[in-house]
Amino acid sequence: MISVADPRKHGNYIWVPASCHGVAFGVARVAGMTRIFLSSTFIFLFLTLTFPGALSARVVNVYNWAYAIAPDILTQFEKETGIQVNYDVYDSSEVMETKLLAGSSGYDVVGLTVWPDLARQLGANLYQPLNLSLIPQAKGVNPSFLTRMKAVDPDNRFALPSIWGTRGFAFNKRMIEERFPNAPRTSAAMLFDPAVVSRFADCGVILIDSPLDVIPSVLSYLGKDPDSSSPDDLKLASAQLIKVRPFIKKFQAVPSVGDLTSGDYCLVEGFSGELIRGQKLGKAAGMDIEYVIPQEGGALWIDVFAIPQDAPHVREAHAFINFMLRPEIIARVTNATDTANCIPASLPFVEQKIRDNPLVYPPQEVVDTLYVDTTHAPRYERMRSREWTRVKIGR
Amino acid sequence: MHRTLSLFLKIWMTLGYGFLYFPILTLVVFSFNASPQVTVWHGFSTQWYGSLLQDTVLIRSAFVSLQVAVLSATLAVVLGTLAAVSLVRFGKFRGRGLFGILTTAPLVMPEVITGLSLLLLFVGLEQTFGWPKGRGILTITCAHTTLCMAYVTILVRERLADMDLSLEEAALDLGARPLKVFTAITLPLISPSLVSGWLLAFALSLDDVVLASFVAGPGSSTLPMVIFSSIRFGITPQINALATLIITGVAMSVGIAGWLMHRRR
Repeated sequence: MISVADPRKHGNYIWVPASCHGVAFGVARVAGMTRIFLSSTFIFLFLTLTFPGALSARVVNVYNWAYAIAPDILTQFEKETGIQVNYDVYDSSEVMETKLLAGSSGYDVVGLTVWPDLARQLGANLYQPLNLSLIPQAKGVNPSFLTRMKAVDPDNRFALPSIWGTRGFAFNKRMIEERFPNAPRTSAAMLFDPAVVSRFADCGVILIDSPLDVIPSVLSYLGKDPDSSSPDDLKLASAQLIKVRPFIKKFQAVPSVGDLTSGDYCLVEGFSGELIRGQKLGKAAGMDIEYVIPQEGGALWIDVFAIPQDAPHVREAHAFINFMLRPEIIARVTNATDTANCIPASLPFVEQKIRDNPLVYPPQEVVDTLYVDTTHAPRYERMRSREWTRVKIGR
Repeated sequence: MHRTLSLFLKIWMTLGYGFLYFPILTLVVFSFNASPQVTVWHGFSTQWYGSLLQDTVLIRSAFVSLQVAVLSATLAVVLGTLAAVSLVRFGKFRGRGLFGILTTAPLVMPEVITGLSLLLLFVGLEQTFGWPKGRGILTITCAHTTLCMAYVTILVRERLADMDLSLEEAALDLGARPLKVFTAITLPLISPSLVSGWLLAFALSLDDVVLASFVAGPGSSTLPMVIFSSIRFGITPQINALATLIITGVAMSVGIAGWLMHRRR
């Protein structure tokens, strides 16, 4: 065979179908390949661009914080209402906020946390008032949560709460006992007292990577008002954090279940949902993990549903929120995520183990002592971020 | 004639390959784990493959990812080749240096910046022209093409620069038109770099999470986005099962390609 140019001589050889046939065959082959390639690309493009909208007339686009909602809930909603659900999740509120601020995000329902996200985003006028006549289930919401949310949304016009929980810490019991048998397990001293936390330095301690979460916790441990916006208190908190900084192995934005259950860390600050789930998974693996709401006072978080200003499917959005707030539906979310919900009538549908767990559903006197992380004036926020950077670099 | 490797080299080779492939092997093994944890072995089970089939979110995102990867790799190869050809073959036209820098700039640009600016661009376009309507597979594809094109351009450019120019000149001499020369001579000669460029672009697109999370719209979460967000609640061996299926698919296609190549020889 006469070959004019053998591409193999040119290095970088991966796989050339025409390599052994010389250029003459190569031409036809490449031209044919190109044609197939191009036409398939066009068909592909065509299908991608035409289909999604054509399949169903009624859709609702949901954007929720990344907790594992049971997928059969969405299927049931689709079956009952004939509305197709596009369910997306985010694990960083910064990305969510950026998308919403950029405008025409396409989302109809956003699930988000009240402090700081809703507080900040209501200021930017991102959400539209809810039409409560389309959400009859809103009557079932525990009024104490609505009262709490009035600080952000004075007339409760923009958002309805779905699930709630606490912030605290969890630890691996065996690893803690080995190192400090009489550890003050129920106190935030576990994290913020250098004499205590130094004992756990070798087994791994994680703090949440967010001044907004950690600074109020430290203030409450120090006996100050966690909601304080005084620069002196802030200095006090960061000085305390710098003392414990050498014993912290990692700052993590999203402390996850796996950190504790893998045995890589023994003491993790975090939120009730993940940590209680970690406790459950740990038990299955023969590991004793304990979640604690600090006795000095824990923080409360509430997740809500809201409808963006420019939502394309407003009616469907209301239908979705109404569906999610139905007692037997929200109970399934609770059962799947070990997270308390804001609908008291759902309790009979919640598994007894979860309902009776004082960490998921703390007694009312504990709930009353929980504080929320309010947002502050930009000047204070700036100061707080700066102090946080100082803490993280350790000086 | 085979040269035997010294023991020293053999040990290093084992260590090197072990480092590369042992983690993948454990991932495959743990996809058959009976416990819902990815780190503790509890006995053999195929339950995660079953539950994977039930998980429509994961499956759908995997398809979105594949779709985006195929589309953007193809587009990147076409556009990247055109860019490379004009950079190498069109002489020293005005602004060639600038053009070269601009095509490859996405390589060094932090993805957060590319992602945010593309998001703002798409929103601006939609508000001005009404296109693209919302964001989804199309916009993710555009974003990935932007990134991948830079890689393809560099690959093809090197290949074109190394190529023997006299072959094209001979064809021109024999009366072929420039377009004919391009399809008959140039394309077959640079096809190895086109294939490797396509594969590289495909891989880049398949595992990108930053660009995608900015420009994705409702119902178009890609697989890496879904996996990342599920980390918070603990990864289940379901992810391992999916990864095992993907690895099997890739291994099989590499195997088939290798076999075809071998047969041709």
